[in-house]
Amino acid sequence: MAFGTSSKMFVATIEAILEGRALDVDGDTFKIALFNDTITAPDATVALASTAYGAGVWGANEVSDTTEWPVTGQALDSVTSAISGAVWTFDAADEVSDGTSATLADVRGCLIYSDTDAADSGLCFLSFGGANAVTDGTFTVSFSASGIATITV
Amino acid sequence: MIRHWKCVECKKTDVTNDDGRGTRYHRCPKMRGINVPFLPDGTKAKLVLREREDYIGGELVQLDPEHGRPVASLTTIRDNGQDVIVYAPTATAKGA
Repeated sequence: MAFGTSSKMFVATIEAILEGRALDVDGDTFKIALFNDTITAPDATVALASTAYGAGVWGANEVSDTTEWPVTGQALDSVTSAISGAVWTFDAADEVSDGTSATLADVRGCLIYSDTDAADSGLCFLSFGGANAVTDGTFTVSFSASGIATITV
Repeated sequence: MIRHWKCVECKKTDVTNDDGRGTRYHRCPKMRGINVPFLPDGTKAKLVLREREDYIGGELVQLDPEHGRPVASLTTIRDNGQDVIVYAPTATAKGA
């Protein structure tokens, strides 16, 4: 099992938003939870219930620090939703562990999900392209200038 | 709180006066122009830039400005620990 190489939005979440489900991409509190390489490779085409934090492949293999990147993840700050031409972009400020003494091992990827949504539905997952570890330090996820997630039409 | 910073690679220095939280960054010419953290002046450390190890295919990954190579992470190795910056790709969905 492995996290895999893909970074994708969940199709079922897009469908749920289009069908009027209450998921506010620039109003909800979104969290970023970290996962190791023991996880089964995530799939962008799973049913909505399996996109959620704590469900499907996201039910195990989370990586956390007691206080500086706790279980359930860190809340994203400065979340934005914007359209430019044919591209919709979801973005947020880079996420940094709380403090300077985090210890995390085998961080391979993450789930971005709505903590406001009662079901904790996932929006997307990102593969970090290799294992990462911090010891008594800080862990930072630097999001791309292209955003955390995009839809191109 | 006045803090003195130095890059362990290019030796650039900076001074900030703030609440003592967070880290100062700069685009380092010795690290392919990537945005890397300063360290408190006097800290012994080295920076290790790692390229993405996985197959890229159609993934929208981050590239270093100098060579256009896919970058995965930057590790700061200190005497008493290590920090990591992960350069996350963008999750995508296409309508056509």
